[in-house]
Amino acid sequence: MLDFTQLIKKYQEPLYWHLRRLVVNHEDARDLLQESLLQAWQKLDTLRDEGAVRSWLYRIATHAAYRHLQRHRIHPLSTEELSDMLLERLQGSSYVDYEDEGLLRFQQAILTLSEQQRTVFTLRYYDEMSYEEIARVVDSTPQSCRVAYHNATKRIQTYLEE
Amino acid sequence: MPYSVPEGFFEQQQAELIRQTVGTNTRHTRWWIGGAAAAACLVVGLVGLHSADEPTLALYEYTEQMSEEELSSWSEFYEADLFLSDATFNTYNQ
Repeated sequence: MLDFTQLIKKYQEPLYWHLRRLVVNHEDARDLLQESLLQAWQKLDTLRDEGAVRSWLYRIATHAAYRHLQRHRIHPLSTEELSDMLLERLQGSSYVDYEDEGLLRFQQAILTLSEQQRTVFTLRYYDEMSYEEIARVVDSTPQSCRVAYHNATKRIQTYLEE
Repeated sequence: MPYSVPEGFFEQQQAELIRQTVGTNTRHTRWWIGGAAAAACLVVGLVGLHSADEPTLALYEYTEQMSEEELSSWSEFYEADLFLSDATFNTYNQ
């Protein structure tokens, strides 16, 4: 039987940072963290494999972030529109260190990626997940995630060299 | 990453999340235990609790089976409850 208190203590920070990297705003990441963990609490009995709890939590959080970014939109945002929105958020967000230009530019590069590339990249680069685990989070295959990560790193490199 | 959080943010979040999730179950348990304790006291009263030094076996066995968390919730509930007496509480929580 999973101890949900221990789950919260172990995963709330990494989940918050994952959400923050996807939605940029602290306030949105905070609200999505609460929403995701409440959802996980309500669906705890649907978790079949306790060994996969990390990917399960990240999957809930990632889908919550995707829904949030498309919320109130009549038409789904294109990759470019989404990137523009997130880059604009980065310019005007609280709790962002604007003095570290290198870090800021790296984050801008990540925000120019497609939704899936950005998710795969951040899960691999920051959370050090295996491609198998990432695949469970984003509903894909490990091979597709490997390709997405490779393309993401190339695109980030190109952006930083501009 | 260029991102940061307000001071104390994760501690506050953790407490709030625990309150909203695991904490809700605790409240349900508290009410259940409170109701059960009230019923047990009624039984004790009907049988006749004539001495605070001689607890009835049923209530004693009931509280013996409680986990630490349940006893803690019960004692918290007791403080605001009109049905649980000082004698009962002091007898079974030494």
